[in-house]
Amino acid sequence: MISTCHVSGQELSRYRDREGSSAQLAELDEHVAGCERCKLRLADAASLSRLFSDQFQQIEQELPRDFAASVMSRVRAAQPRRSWLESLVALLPPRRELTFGMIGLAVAASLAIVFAPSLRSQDDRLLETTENEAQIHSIEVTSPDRSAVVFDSAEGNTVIWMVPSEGDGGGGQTVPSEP
Amino acid sequence: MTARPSDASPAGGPDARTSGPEAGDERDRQLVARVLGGEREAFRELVERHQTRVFGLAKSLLRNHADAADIAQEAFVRAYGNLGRYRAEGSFTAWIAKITNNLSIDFLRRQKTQASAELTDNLIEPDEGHAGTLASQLVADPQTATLRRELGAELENGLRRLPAKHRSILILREIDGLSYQELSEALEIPIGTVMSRLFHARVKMQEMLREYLEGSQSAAPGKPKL
Repeated sequence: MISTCHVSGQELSRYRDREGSSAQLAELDEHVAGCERCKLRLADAASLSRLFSDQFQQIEQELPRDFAASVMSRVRAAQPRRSWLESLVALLPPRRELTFGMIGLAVAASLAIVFAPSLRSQDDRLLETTENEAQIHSIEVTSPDRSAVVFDSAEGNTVIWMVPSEGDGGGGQTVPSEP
Repeated sequence: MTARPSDASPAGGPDARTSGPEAGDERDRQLVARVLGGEREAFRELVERHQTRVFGLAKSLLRNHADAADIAQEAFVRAYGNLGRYRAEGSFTAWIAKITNNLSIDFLRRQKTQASAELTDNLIEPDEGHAGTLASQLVADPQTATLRRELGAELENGLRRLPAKHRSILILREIDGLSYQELSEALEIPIGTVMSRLFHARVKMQEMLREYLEGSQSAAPGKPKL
């Protein structure tokens, strides 16, 4: 009965497409069986689908006959793009020809890829150290409670730094570097 | 093809889905794997399985045979070139439909011809007082074949007047039989939007066809009243 039907057009559209849970569809199956309004709406939707089917047949006839051949002629001039991993795998020879040397090469390349950034950053830090800081030549123990550290300062002087083993603040003495 | 509660199961392509969407999708996946494995000619079968729906979508959106053929061809070439990006868990039908839809929309934007004759994008409510009109006319009219041809032509006109987004979803659902999930993938919209957009597209199309029927009956008094 029309007066008792609360099914929205959107719900019915989804029902017609058999989208939704099986419980929802079963509930609507039961409702539609006794609802003239929904039957009419579904009949209209079915008519629309029939018209689209007719339309589809017409389009099928309009498809250029050599369509697939035209596509393939263009495709032959192109290559499908692969991911870098697929490309790498494609470069490898068949398994039986894979030698230990090639495996080693692959491992070395992988290690280089993985560790190169960290090595590069260590190099960077090392460069910063040698440019901005003094370079230590030696550490000499001069007494049980003091050590002497000899190094070149950034200004080019040789510095002897007395370092206390404990408690003492220590002190430095600058000596001109030898030519 | 998705099962439907009533008749009028739409056409679903020459062969891509004749044995059900799952079997068709599995065949597509096999073909894609073969192409990526270096068997380029396997792509021909993919083209033949999907060419009608791809051309049909392009034709419905672009309204021009030559442009549609060009766009459909370009869609397949793009698909081939990007086959490595295709995710096998998705439907190839939805994937190629997305490429075709996007190419067609881009083409229309470049041509700037889209807005001229389109209906507004406003949502409309169905005229419940006329429920059943379309079905009863197609059944009751003694010249149903003639009427269906007329309505088929009117359907074409109606599609031209629909906004592109409504045109796309109608074609993909009614002709290509895409599921809501596939529509969501192809059009890149949530499932909820699929439901509402499809509903409103159908309502607009039905209203246009009803208007046509009313107009043709007032012009031909011998025909039964709606």
